[in-house]
This record gives sequence, C-alpha cells and structure tokens, in this order.
Amino acid sequence: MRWLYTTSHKDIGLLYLVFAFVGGLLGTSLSMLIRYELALPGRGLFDGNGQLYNVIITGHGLLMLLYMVMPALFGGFGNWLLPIMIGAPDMAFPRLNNISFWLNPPSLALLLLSTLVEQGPGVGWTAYPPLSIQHSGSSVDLAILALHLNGLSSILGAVNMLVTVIGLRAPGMKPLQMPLFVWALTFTSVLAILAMPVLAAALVMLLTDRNINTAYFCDSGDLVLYQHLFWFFGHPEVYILILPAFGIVSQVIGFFSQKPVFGLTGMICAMGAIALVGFIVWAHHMYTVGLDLDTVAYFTSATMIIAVPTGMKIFSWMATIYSGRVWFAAPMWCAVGFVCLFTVGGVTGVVLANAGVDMLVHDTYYVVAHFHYVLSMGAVFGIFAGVYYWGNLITGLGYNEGRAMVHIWLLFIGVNLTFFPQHFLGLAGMPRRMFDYADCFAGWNAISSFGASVSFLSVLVLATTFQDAVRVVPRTATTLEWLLPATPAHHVFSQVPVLRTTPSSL
Amino acid sequence: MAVPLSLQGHMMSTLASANGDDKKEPTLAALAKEAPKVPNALAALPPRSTRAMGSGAHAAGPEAARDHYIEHTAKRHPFHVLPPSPWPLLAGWGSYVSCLGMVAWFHNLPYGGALMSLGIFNIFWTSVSWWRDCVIEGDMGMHTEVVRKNFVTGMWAFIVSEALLFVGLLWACLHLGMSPSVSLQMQWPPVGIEAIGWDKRALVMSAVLAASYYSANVAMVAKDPKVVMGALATTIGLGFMFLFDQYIEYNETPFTITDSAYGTTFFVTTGFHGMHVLLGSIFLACALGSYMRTHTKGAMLSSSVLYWHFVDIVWIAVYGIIYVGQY
Repeated sequence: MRWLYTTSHKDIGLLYLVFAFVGGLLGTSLSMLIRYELALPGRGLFDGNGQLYNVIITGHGLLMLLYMVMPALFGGFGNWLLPIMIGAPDMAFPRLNNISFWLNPPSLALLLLSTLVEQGPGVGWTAYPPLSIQHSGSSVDLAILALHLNGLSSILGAVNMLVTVIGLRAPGMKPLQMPLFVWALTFTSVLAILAMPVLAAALVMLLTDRNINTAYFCDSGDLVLYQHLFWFFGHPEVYILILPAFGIVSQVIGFFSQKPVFGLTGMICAMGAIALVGFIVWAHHMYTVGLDLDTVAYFTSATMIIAVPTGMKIFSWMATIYSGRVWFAAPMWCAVGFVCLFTVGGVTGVVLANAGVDMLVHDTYYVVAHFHYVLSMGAVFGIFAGVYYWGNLITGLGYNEGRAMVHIWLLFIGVNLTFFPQHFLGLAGMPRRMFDYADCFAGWNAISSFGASVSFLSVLVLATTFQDAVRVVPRTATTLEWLLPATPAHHVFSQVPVLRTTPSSL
Repeated sequence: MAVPLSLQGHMMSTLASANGDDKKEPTLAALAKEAPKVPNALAALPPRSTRAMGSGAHAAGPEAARDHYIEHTAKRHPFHVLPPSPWPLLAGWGSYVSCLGMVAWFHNLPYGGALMSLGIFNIFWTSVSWWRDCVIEGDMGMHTEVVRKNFVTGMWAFIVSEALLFVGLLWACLHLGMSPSVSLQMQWPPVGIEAIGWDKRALVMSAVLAASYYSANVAMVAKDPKVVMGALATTIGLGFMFLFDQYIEYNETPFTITDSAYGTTFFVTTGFHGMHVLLGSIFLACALGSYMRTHTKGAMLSSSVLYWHFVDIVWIAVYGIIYVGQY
C-alpha cells in the first residue's frame, strides 16, 4: 500500500527508477531483435515480415525515449534529488507527484497493447501521416493515447518541479547557489511545459483524422503540418532527454575532480541558451519535405548555433577536470565517457545541421548513428553515472568497483562497435527503418550487430554489479544530499535548513 | 494605487491585499533571521529524535493530529507535507479505462462507449475526492501563505502549458488557412463553404466573454463579500451564456466537422475552447461555493479567476484567427 499511495518524493523517485529499468529492459530486448535481424542480409528472424520489423523499431524508440530515459533522469533522479538539493522537505505538490508516476504504467500498458492488437503500430516513433492514418484498426489509436498519458505525466511533473524550485528553496539559497543538477531540471521542466502540449495537439489531430474524418493532414489538409507540429515538440524533447544528463555529469565531475565546476554562471547560461535556441530549430528534421530555400538556410544556421553553448559546456567540464585531484571511480568513468562520446555525437549533429549534406543522408543510418551517440552514449552514460554515484544513497546497495569497471568498459566497447560503423553505412546510402538491405552493406552491419551483443553482455554484468548493503558517506561533497544517511527517512528537513554564505564558500 | 505593469503583478498584489498578513506562520525571512549560527552544516541538523519524523496522522484523533502536524512541521517550515493518498492511483486507473473505452468506442467494439463513460466518471469522482481533500487540508490550516503562493505559481505554469496546447491548434488553423490545399482551389474559406461570420453571434460571444473578464476581476479585488459573490455569479452566468450561444452556433452552421480543413479547424479549435470555458465555469462555481462558506479569498479563488482570464484571452486569439482572419 505504501508504494501505491505514497506522497514521498523519495518513494516516487524510486518507483520511477524501477519503471525505467523495466522500460529499459523492454527497449533493449527490442534493439537486440533489430540487430539480430539486420546482422545478415536476406530473410532473417522476421522471415520477411516488414510490418513486424516496423512495429519493433517503433516500440524500441518510444520505450527507450519515453519509458527509460525520461523516467530515469527526470522522474527518478529528478524527483529523488531535487527537493533535497534545495533543502525542501518534499516537492511542492506531493500528490500530483504521485499521479505523475501512476499515469506511466497505464501508458506502458496501452503501448504494449497497441503492439498486440491488429497489425501493430508500424509507424516509427514519429508516427507520420499518411501511414499512421492508413493503419486501420486500433493499434495506432492505443499508441496515441499511451503518448497522451505519458505527456500529461511529464507536464504535471514539470509543473511540480518548477514550483518547487521557485517556492521551496531553503532560505538563504540564492538561485545561483542551486546545484547544476537543479538548474538542469529547471530548464528541462520549462522545455516540457512548453513542448509537450504541442505534441498533445498534434496527436489529437492525428486521432481525429483517424477516427472522425477530420481533414488536418489528409484530404484538404497538409501532411507537412504534422511534421511541423511534431518536430516543434520533437526538438525540445531531445533537449529534455539530455539536459538532466548534463546536470548529473556536472555534479559527478565536480565531485570527483574535487573542485567546483568551471564557470558556474557560464554553465547555467549555456543550458539556458540550449533550451531557448532549441525551440527555433525544429525544421532541421524536415529538410527533405520541400521547404523554401530561405527557410532551409535559416534552420541550417540556427541549428549550428546550438553547438556553441553545448561546446562551452564540454570545455568547462574539461577545465574542471584539468588541474583537479581526480578520483577515477565508476561514476567518473561514466561522466568522462559521456563527455567524449557526446562530443562525437554532437559533431555529427553539426554535420547534419547543414541542409546540403542532410539532403543526402536524411533517413539513412548516419542520422541513426548520430542520435544513438548522443542518446545511447550521452543519456545512457549519464544515467549510469547517476546510478553509480547516488545508487548507494538511494537504495543502500553498494557496488563492486571491479564489476562496475567491467560493465562500463563492455558497454563502452559495445555501443561504439554498434554505432560507429553506422556512420559509414549512412554515408554509403543505407536507408533507415528498413528490415533488409543491399548486400554491399553487409560488412558494417555484421560488426554493428556484434557490438550489440557486447552491449547485451554488459547488461548481464550490470545485473551482478550491485550487491551488499554498505554505507558510503563521502564527507567532501558540497551539495545537500550527502548530509543525509544512506536511505534517508521518509521526510527529511522537517526543520528547514538555512544557508548562510561565508566568504570562503563564494 | 498605481497600476502595476504586468497582469501577474496585478494578480499577485490583489491576492496579497485581499488577505491581509497572517502573523501566525513563520515567513522564510523570519526563519532565516532567527536560525542559530553553527560551526558547520552537520551541526545544524536537528537532534536525532526529531530528524526522521514523518507527517502521517497518529491514532489520537483529528485534534491531536492537527496539533502534532503543526508542532512538528508548520512551526519549523511553512511548506505542505502530505500523508499518503489513494487518489492519484485511482485517477491513473480511471485514465487507463477511459483510454481503452475511447479506442473501443472509435472502433465500434461492444460496450466501448459504456467503458469510456465509466472511465470518465471514475476520473470525475476521483477528482472530486481529491479536491475535497484539498479543501479539508485548507480548513485544517495547512495552507500557509507560502503554500497558497505556490498554488498560484503552479496554476500559472499549468496555464502556460494549456496556452501551448492552443498554440498547437491555432498553428494548424493558420497553416491550413494561409496555404489552402489545391483540393480547395487554394481558396480560404473554401469554395462551397458558407463562412462563419465574425459579426453577429460571434461578436456577441466576444462581448459576453469580455464582460466576464471584467466581472471576474471585480470578484478578485472587491472587499465586500456581497460584491465578490455577485461578481463571481455574474462571471459564471456569462460563461454559461457563452456556452449556450456556442451550442446554438454549432446547431446552425451549414458545415460539419468533416467538411474539409475548414470545418475541421473550426470545430476542433472552438470545441476545445468551449470545453475549457465549461471547465473554467465549473471551477469558478466551486470557488464561489468555497467563498460562500468561508468568506475568505483563498488559492481557489485566485486560481480560478486566473484560469478564467486565460480562457478569455484564448478566445481573443481564436476569434482573431478563425473568425476575423479567415478572409
């Protein structure tokens, strides 16, 4: 009963983390199926069933993005740590927090149901019409409603976080004294509040077009309208996915380099700039639909500009590590891995920003490689950094450092083997979302699938990494969560902590 | 009083002036001043016996529970820590059933409509229970000044998200209206559609909402309870008059929702707006009921009036883009 009726942000955070684990396992299994099918050219596991393949890639995308990364970073670590880091007893609206979580299991149920009825939603996570309208039967409707529930959950959670940060800070804590993870969550919440309702609108239009004969996208409507609305949400969504990871990496690098993160104000402004500019670049996902040349030129320039604040963050992290007394433990390895691999993903993003290049590589594996570098290696490494850094505090379980190293290195090798060859495939012209390919692409595909099996091994190692209950309370940290004993009580800060700024802590 | 620049400033100052200072609970500034100076952060934690205190009520009865709550939390922090509640889980369940029902209804599966109605009723009942709990907590004194301010901030954030929903819908109206499809002979309003006029009924509806904006404002700033209640009742009445006008309008349009992109954008956008007018009117009615009970202006009143203002402003956008801008 405690887990059903809870209003404690720690319980809800843990619920989210467990939910994200389930979502992650499901998404990973689907990715294994995809790579198994694509390991060799010709008929494979799916025996030529293209619809089944499309359903699996749709499920893989939605599960990983909305049921793994967002619950883990935003719902899990966000809920658990935000109130503690600002010295608040709980979130501003604890019951609203609970409904934010409990909207997710029904959403997952609807998504899984959608794959089981009729032919399944073989539409890609983007669900472009006309294909998503031509899917007669209830699969796509169930998937749309799943996304509605998930979106509502995110919006309510974002409202909660924003009000908490604005209204429940400990007295004496100025905004610039909030930890970077809190700042990251603030910007993420703003993005969620502004972007997710537009997705809701687009999905409503898709639903009515499918079922009550409206003409938003089909007949006298415009298919490109859907893409505009979807990507107006879609681009801020990818920043929603990565900003909390930025925050976690900042916390981890600052802690393990034993010095404050370089350029605190700059880091905050960079996140703000990324959030802001992220709203005016959406059409770089639409370069091939027939937009006006001047429009395309604008979006090319605006997209390239986002690389500037992002690069600033990378350099600041590097400056933090440089001349620090670095302690290389598991979380730090994850964070350093993040910095390297996210940079690789970022630079391929700058390549894709150029419409001229994108005309040739749009919907090829180059795009797939790009976003898997920033997500599979960015967001996922951020999640693992958080898991290793705060796992003991949240669950009381310790991890075997050696086993963690094996896990991290296997994961690193696995994901790189999986996704680096996909750059070559994309440049060579292999299209994405296709269940078979021309024989000339066989070599890199085989390597890629081998890499996927190595990643799978790393998941198995992860299962054995967390073990006995230990108490690890580092005393050198500068954020409030380390003042608490491992597995803190239901509600802490029943007396509000007061922050006083002394000259030495400036 | 000088008129502040922003609407928010206006709203916040009317709330503050309407309530007067509440001297009983600690303000954050006062807490900061009276906190003892300590050598390091660890020494500042309260002694072990109170550190792990939850806020759940104990078996000693409501009075003792209230005193326990105030003793252990309200005197130490002005924030709102809640005991466990079943409503979120039940609302999640209701959403699930509603979604399944909606899909079944769309695809003509047996009892689809009934399932959807059951789910929606579930959500409705859970919402009533949830907000009833909020009213009870307010009566118990848990709604400190800080908590009320946070409610209003939360309402602002929620309104921004709703505004973005309408941005999405109106974006579609603009997109489809400004580049009409070839199948509509690139004309807007399309050939064969008798366009809905911006004058006549739509103008009356705009006037009704404009008047309700003013009366809602009166309800916010007035001091005399009779004036407040009268203004709220007027606002609610005007809201329902708008809905009645819209009902007649819907009955009289020569086109339906399936009549090309024009009918689609018209009915979906004005329909969503109408739903929000209905919800806003019900919210105002609840605020009126609460005010009639306590004669104090709480978070419910300021939130509902804020929401109503939002609904009015959305109408301006809808009217401008769909009714006026279509030519």
